[in-house]
Amino acid sequence: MSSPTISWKRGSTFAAQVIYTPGAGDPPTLEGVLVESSVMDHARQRYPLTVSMLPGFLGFNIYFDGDSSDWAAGTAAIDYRCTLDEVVFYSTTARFTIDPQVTL
Amino acid sequence: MATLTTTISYGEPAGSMVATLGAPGPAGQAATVTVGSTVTGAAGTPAAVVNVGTSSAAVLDFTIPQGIKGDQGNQGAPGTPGTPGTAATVAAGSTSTGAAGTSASVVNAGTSSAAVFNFTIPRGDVGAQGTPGTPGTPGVVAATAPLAYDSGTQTVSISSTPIFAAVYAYNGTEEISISPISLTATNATSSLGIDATGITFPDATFQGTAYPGTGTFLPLSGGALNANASATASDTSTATDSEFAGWGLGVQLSADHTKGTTVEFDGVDAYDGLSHMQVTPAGLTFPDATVQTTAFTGAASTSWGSITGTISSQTDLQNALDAKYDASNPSGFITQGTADGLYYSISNPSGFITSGDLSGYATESFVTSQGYITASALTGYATESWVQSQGYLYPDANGVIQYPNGVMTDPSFPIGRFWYQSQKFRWTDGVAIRTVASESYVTTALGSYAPLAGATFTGKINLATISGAQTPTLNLGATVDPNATNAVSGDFWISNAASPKVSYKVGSSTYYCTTNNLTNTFSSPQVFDTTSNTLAAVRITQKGTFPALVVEDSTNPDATAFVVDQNGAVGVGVDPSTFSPSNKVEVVGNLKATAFVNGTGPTYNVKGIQTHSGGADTHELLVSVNGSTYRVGMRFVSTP
Repeated sequence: MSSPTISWKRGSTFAAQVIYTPGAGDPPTLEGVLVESSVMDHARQRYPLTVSMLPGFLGFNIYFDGDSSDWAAGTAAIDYRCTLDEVVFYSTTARFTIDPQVTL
Repeated sequence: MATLTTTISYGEPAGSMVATLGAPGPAGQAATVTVGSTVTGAAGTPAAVVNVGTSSAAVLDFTIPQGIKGDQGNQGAPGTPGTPGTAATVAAGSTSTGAAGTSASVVNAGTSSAAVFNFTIPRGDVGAQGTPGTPGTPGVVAATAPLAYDSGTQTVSISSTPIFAAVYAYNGTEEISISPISLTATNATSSLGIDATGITFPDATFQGTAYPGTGTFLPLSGGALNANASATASDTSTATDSEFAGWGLGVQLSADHTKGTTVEFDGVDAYDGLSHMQVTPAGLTFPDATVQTTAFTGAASTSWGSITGTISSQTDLQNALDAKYDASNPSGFITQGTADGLYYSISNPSGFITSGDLSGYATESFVTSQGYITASALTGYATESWVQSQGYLYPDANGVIQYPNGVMTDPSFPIGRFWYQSQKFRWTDGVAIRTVASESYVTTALGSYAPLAGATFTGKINLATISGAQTPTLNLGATVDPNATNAVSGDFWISNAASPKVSYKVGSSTYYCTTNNLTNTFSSPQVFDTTSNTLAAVRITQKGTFPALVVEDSTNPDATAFVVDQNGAVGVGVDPSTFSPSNKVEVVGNLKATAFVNGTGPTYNVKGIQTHSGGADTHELLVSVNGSTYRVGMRFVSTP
């Protein structure tokens, strides 16, 4: 597995915007879809994220409502759990690097 | 296939993470797993499972290696018997009896080859009852009084009244004891005792005589007798009351510790704490100690003040009252005669006040509207009678102030009283009656005194005489010591003693002022000092013909004094009384000077005389003129 190219420094607010791009035959938007997401750090500690849908349901914002300074540095993983009509879909897992603070 | 592109808001470098999101596919066909071959591998080689089929129809071939050497096995079967050993010895040790029901035990106190066994054998259980034994030979039975033994019937009986020194019955907490002189019943909290003197109750009260009542007894205190009758005790020491009440008996008697009603067989005495009213067979005894022995029938004579008569006859009282009736003034009004001096009017001969007479007087409503002083508002104010009792000043008919109680002669009359008596104001200080001086008296009395300021004093002030250790402050009196030792700084005084001086004291030193026409003797030099560089420290003006300055030695008069006369001529060693110089300086004696000068001319000085040889001159006078010395030849003329 290659190293992730996205890095993020812990301690700052973890927030991201996720854009949904439907493929052929997929629902045109995420309307009616329950999206859940978590970050799992290198120490396999999970941190649930807050999800808020964007207008038009073509994406959503995620952020961690808490202190991220104790997240373990290293490769972290994130994925999405989508529920539509009681059917659960999991996205593939994306990875990014959590960098420690250098200056304390 | 949908994608979710995630862009982190705070990250370096910027970038996105893409995750795919697809719908789950249709349910697949169930996979099959089949076990293929199983091969035992060599010990220590790894086990292996190989799928020789497909992923959905697996055929697994197992290679399982042989196990490694196991742990040691169980003990084997016994071996063959050995050769016989030395014979062991066994000996019996101690034997102990254990408790019934315990297990017997044997303990080897020796060794395995020389055993010594100690035995413990428990006691056996109780055995069954044995068969009755053979009756024995009857014995001899005797009894002592009050018991008696009948050998025939072999019975014992009481032959006489038993006598016991004491009998007790006791159950652990309660006891009754009977002795020849008492019986006592006792429980855990109290006791009741009976002896020859009486009964002692649990509350320690004692009853030594039989209670006389029969039937239902009256309780000692409280409770119901019958028909609401009750009795309570009295105790004067604690000030409690007593009462015996019985409505059913038609009587209620009560008393407190200070008064009460006594009912006895021969009378009743009602006492309210102050007086008695008694009913006895002898009659009624009233609180004033009068006794009534017969019934009051009304026929006896009686009196009402000055009216006398009998009760049964109303006419005598009526007649007496009628006698007091004044027909001329039936209503008892004020008659004309009695109204004289008060109010009289021909038109109103009875002296009544008519409405016209009230004209000009305030009505009640007016007074009310204006407000008036009520009795309560006067609380704390002196009444007229009180003020009169204390006395006050008032003018008589001539306007002379009088004291209401007359002339005061008692000096101990309340201090501060002031009155007018015999044309003088008088007052008392509690010691004597004082008189206030009149203005004329004061003027006359002060006529011989000098005012302290504002007027010219022409008289003479006589001050006390002081001397020696006395303390003057300002004393100008006669025979004053010029050196009063107790004078303090600031004191000023004039003495006219043998050596009179004007003296004053500054600090601890006494100073004298020089006085005119007197010899002033000082014990220390008189120093005249001035800060002025233009004025003389001492200036002497002599306007007469006597010398202006005479300096003597201790001799007075001194004929060799230093004198400055009124013209400024100076005499040294001259007699002041005869000094009349024709020169400005006259010296009786030698005059010594460094040099002399004549006006603005040269300075000169005679430096000495020396002998001269040669010629007619015998001596030379050495004269210095402006510093140069010249010799002047001198020739002898004559002796003085």
